[in-house]
Amino acid sequence: MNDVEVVKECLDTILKKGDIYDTIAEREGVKFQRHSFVRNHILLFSRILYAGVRVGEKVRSLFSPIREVKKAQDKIRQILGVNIDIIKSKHIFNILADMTLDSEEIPSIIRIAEKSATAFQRSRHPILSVFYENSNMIMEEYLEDLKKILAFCDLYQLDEILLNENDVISVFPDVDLTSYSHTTMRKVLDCDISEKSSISSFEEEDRLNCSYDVERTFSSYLLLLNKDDLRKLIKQLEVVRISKKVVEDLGNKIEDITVKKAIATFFSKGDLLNLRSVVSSRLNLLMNSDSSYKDKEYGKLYQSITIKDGYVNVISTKSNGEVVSNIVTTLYDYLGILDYKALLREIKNKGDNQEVLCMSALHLYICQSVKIKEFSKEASYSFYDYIYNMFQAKKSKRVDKIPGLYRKTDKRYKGLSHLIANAIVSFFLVVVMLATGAGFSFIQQLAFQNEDEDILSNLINTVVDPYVKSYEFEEKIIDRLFSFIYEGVSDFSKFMIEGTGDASEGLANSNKLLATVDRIQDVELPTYFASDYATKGEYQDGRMNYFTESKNITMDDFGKVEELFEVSWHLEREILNKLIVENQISFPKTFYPIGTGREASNYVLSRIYIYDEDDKLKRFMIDGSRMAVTGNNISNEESEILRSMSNPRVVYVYGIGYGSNAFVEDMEKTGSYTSNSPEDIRNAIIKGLGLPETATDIEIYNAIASKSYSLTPIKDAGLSWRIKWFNEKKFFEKVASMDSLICNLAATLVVGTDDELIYTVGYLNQNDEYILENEGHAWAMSEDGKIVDISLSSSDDKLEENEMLANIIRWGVQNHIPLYALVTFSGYLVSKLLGRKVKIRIKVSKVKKVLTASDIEESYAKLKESLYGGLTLPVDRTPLELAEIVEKEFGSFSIEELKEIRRELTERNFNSDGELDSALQLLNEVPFLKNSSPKVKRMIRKKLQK
Amino acid sequence: MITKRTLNGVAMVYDAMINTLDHVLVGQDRVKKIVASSILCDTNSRILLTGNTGVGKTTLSNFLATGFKSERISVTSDMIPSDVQEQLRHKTDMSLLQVDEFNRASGKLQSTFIELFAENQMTVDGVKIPFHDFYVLATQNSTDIAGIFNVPQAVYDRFDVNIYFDSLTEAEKRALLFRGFSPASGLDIDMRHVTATKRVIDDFPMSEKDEDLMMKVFNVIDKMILDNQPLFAGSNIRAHKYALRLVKLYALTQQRTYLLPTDIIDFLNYVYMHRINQNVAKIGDKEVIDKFDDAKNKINSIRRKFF
Repeated sequence: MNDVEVVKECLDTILKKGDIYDTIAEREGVKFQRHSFVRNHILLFSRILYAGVRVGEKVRSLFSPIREVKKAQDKIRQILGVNIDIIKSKHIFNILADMTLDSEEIPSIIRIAEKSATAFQRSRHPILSVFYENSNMIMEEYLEDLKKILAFCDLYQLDEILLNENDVISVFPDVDLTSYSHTTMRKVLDCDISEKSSISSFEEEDRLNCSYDVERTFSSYLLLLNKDDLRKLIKQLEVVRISKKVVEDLGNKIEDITVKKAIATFFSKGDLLNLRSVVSSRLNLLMNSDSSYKDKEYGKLYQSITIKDGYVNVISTKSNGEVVSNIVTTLYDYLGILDYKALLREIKNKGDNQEVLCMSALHLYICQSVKIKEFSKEASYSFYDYIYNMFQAKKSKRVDKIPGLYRKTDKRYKGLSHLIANAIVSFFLVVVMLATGAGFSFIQQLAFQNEDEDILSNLINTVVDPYVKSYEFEEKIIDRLFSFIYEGVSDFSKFMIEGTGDASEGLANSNKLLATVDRIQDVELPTYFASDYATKGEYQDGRMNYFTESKNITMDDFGKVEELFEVSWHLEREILNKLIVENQISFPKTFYPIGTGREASNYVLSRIYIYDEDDKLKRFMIDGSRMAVTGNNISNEESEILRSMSNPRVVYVYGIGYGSNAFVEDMEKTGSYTSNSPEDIRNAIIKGLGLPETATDIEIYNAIASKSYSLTPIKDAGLSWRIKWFNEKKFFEKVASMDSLICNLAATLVVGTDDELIYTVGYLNQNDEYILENEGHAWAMSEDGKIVDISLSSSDDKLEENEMLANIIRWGVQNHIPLYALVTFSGYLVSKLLGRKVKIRIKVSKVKKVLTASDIEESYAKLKESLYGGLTLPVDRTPLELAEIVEKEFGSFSIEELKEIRRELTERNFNSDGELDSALQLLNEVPFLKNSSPKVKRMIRKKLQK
Repeated sequence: MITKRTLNGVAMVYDAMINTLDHVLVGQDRVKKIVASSILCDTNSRILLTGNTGVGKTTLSNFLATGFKSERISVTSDMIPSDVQEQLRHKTDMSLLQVDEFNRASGKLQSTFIELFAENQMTVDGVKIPFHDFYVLATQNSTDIAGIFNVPQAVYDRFDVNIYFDSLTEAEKRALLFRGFSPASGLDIDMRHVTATKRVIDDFPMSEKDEDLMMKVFNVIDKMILDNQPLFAGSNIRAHKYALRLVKLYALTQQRTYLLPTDIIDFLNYVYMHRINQNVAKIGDKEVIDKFDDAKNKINSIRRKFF
C-alpha cells in the first residue's frame, strides 16, 4: 500500500473508533455527559437493566482500542513528518456557540441557523480535525509545517484545522489574527481540567514523559481554520516572516531601480511574490551580464547562469555551443561564501561586487534559504501525546488522575442542574420503591417531614437526594462486584511475584550456603549480619524499592581486639578479580555482624584474609596496621597471587570492642523513602493497623508483631492483582491491614512509622554456623545501631479455602457468569464476615484430630528417634500434654526448619512405611499451636480436654 | 546401659510421685513437677520452698517428710546453733531435714546450715560429724513480711532449687474451701525406687552431642550471668551440675536417652533465679524475669544436630 492509502486507512480508523481522546476517555469511564439522558431513563424503568448497562459499559471500556488508534495517529505523523493530533469532532454545539460572527452583513439569525444546520449535520456525521501546536519553533520551520498540514488536508479532504494562537503569535509577533475564528480546547473536547495531576515535580514529569503545560493549552485560544483560512494564514505569515528592516537595509545598498520599486511595493502592499520574482530575475540578469571567461583547456567559454531559490545552475559552453559543464550549486558556493552571516559580513566590509552580494542576500533572505544551523527542529510534544503518556502513567498507578480528561465528578456536579428535570421523571421510581417497601437507606433519606424547609426544597430533596444517593449506591455495588469478579478471574500465579512484596518461592526454599561463621573462642554467635542499607527509597507499582548500598572497608574499621569468630565465604575468581583494580583491593562491608546486645560494645573487625582452598600456601592478609601503611594498595606479587587463586575464600575475623560498629557508622539516609511526608505515611500505617491516631511506637510495633508470618502475605490477602494500582499512602495502609507479613514488609512498615530508622538488609542467623540464602532478612535500624526487628509469629495456616474460592470463581465466570458470580459473591461476603471464626474452628478441629490419632505417640517417638538417634519410647500422655510437649520441643523451629525436617526425613527414607505420617502432620500444626492468640489457645485446650 | 525397661521404670516412679503429690496439693502443677524431679534426681537435694502464707509449703514439706526418715527444725529468731547441733548430732542417718521458716534463722545459725547443706557435716565442739545423703526441705515466706532476716547469698547458693509457689487460682480455692479437699496424710514411697532412679541418672549415657548441647545451654546461662553483673553473683558450676541431673531425669521421664536444649526450660528459673544478688534485685522482679526469658529464648534457638 502506498502512503496515501495508508493514511486514508488510518483516518478511517480514527473516524470509526474515535480519536485518542475519545478512546482514553471511554476507557477511563468519563463519558458521562454523552449518555446521561439515556442513562437516567434507564434508571427510571429498571435499576437492574441500568446496572447491566453500566457493567457492559465497563467491560466494553476495557476493550477501548487505544493502541490501535495511537498506532494510526503515529503512522499519520510519520508519513506527514509533523506532530499533529487528529481529533474526531465531539460536542459541536459549544464550538459553534463560541465562533465569532465573521460578518455583520449577514443577519445573525440566519448565521445561527446555518451553523445549527451544520452542527446538526456534524453530530450525525462527525468529521476529523487536525490540531497542531508547537511552542518551540522558528519561523521557517513553523511555516514549513503549516504548508505540510495544508497539503495533507488538501489530499485527504480534511477541512478543519486547529492551531494554538499563542504559537503563531510567539513565532510571528506582528501577525494580525483577528479575522480568523477562535475557539478553546475546552470547547473542542468538551472537558475541564479542574483536577490536578499528582505529579509534584518537574523531574517526575520528565521521567514520566508528561511535561506538558495543560493549563496553557486549555486556557489559550485556538485558531479554527478551514483550508482556505490556512492558505490565507500561510500567505500572511510569509509576509510577516520577512523583516522589513532587513529588506530596507539591503534595499538601501542595492542600486537597481527595478528592485527598489519592488521593495517599495512590498512595503506598501505586502506583495512578497512580486518582490521575490523581481529580485530573482534582476540577480539573474546581473550575474549573466559578464559571463564569459577564458579556460586553459577549452579556450573561451560562455557561462549561462540561472538562479532559483538559492541555487545556481551554471552551464558552460564553447563558442560553438558545445556544453562543457553543467553544474548546480548553492548560491553561497558560487559566491565563494560560507553562509548568510559571512555574506552580510562581506557586504559590510564592502567587498567586490556589492550589487551582486546585496541582491544575493536579499534573494536568499526572501527564499528562506537562510538556515541558521544552530537551531535544530526539536521533537514537538502534543496534547494527545501528553494524554497518552498520562494514561500510561495512570495505568501503572504513577499518577492518579489525568488532567485534561474530564472527570465524572465534574460532570455530575454540572449535570445535577439537568437532574432536576430527570429527577421529577424519576419520582415514579421512588414511589414504586416505597410501595415495595425497599429498605435502602436512600429511601429513608426522604425529607417529607423536614419542617425547616419549604415545600419546594422538600420536594427537590425528596426526589433529587435519593436519586443521587441511589446512583452512588449502585455505582459502589457495581464497582465492587466487578472488582471481585475481576480479581477472581485473574491469574494469581502470574501476579504472585510480580510487583508484590511476596517472597519468591525459589529464594524462600533455598538452602544455598552463603557464608559460614566459625568460633575462635567459645562465644555466642551474632544473630544479625548486615549487607546493605537503604539510602533512599521509592514507591512504584505496588512495592517499595529501596536504593541500597554498602561501603567498603577502610583502615579505621579495623581494631585491635581479641578475636572471637570469623565469617567466611567463597569468592568466585571473577568476582575477586573485580575487587582488584589497578593493584588496589577493596573489601565490601557484607555479612557484617550487628548488635552485640551489650551497651557500648560492638563487633570490630580484626583482620581480613583470603586464601586459596585448593592451595593453602596462597594467602593474603590485611589488617589495620597494614592499611595504615599501604592503604588499599597491593604489590604486583600479591595481585598475582590473588588472581591466581582457583578457589578463593575470604575470611573476616571479628572480636568485640568498644566504640561504634563500622557498618552502622556508614549508615545514612540521603533521601526520603517516601514521596509523602513521614507523618502521612505513619498515619496511613496507623489507620491500616486499626490503632488510634495517638498510637505510640510500642503500640505500633506490637500490632505489627501480632501479625502472622507468611511468605506470600500479599497473595494471602487477595491483593496481588490490585496492589499495583495503589498509591503510596494506600499501599502502606493496605499492607498494615494485612493479617500476615513477611520481614521486608514488616521492616517497611517500621521504617514508615519512624523516618529516623534505616531499612537494612542482611541475614538472620539461626544461631548456627551457617548463613543460608533463605536466612535473608530485612529489619530497621537507627543510625546509632539499635536494631528494631519486629518478630512476626510463624504461621503456616494458609488455608486452602482461598484457592478453592478462586477456582470456583474462575470456572463460574467461564461458564455461568450471573449465577456463579452471585453465589461466589455471596460466599465471599460470608467468608469475609464470618470467615475468620469458621477458619479457626476448622483449624482447631484439625489439631484435635491430629493429637488424638491412635498412633500419634508412637509416631512422635519414632520421629524423634529418627531425628536425634538414641532410644525414644512412646509416652502415655493426654492430647493436651502432647500438645504442650510438641509446642515446647518444636515451637521455636521456623517454618523453613520444619519443612527441612520433613524433607530430610523423606529423603533419608525414614518414613517409607508411613510411620511418621501422624507426627509429620503434628509438626504442620506447630506454628498454629504456638502462635494462636490466648483465646484460640483456650479453645484448643477446651477441645482437647473433652 | 539404659534399656526400655529402665525408661519405663523411671517413668512409672515419676508418675507415681506426681500422682502422690496430686493428693497433697491442689493445682501447683509446676511445683509438683520440680519437687518430684528434685526428689528423684538426687538424694542430696537442697530444696527451698518459697511462697505466701497458706499456699501449702509446710503441708507439702510435712507430707514429704512422712516418706523419709526425717528431722524437723522450726526456726525461730532466737534459735542458736547449739540448738540445731543438739537436735541433729545423733541423727546422721536422717534422709530428710525439714527446716521451717528458714529465713528467720540468725546469721550464726545460717552458718551452721551452710556447713550442713554444703558438706553434709556439722562441727560440734570441734568435732566434724558427717551425715549421710539427706534431702533438705526448707520453707520460707516471701521476704516482704516483716521480722525476716536477710539471708546471705552464700546461704541461698547452697540450695539447689528455690521453688516458688503460685497463688491459688479460683478453682483451686473452691476445691480447698468447698469441695472438701484434704491433703493425704502420708507419702508412700519406696526409697529403693528413688535410689534406683538416682543411679540411672548417674549412668545416663551422655554422648558427645549431648555434651556439646549442654555446653551451649550453659554458655547461654553463663553469658546471662556475666553480662548482668552485679545482678548475678557469679557463674555456678554447682547449679549447672544440678541442672544437668534434672535435665537427665526429665529426658528419662520423656522416655528418651538423649537430651534436648528445651529440657532445661522448665527448670531454669528454679535452679538459677535464687542465685541473683538480692541486694540488687529481688526474685520475681521484672528485670530479672526478662533476663531469664531472654535466656530461654536463646536456649530455644539452640538446635541439637539431626541425624
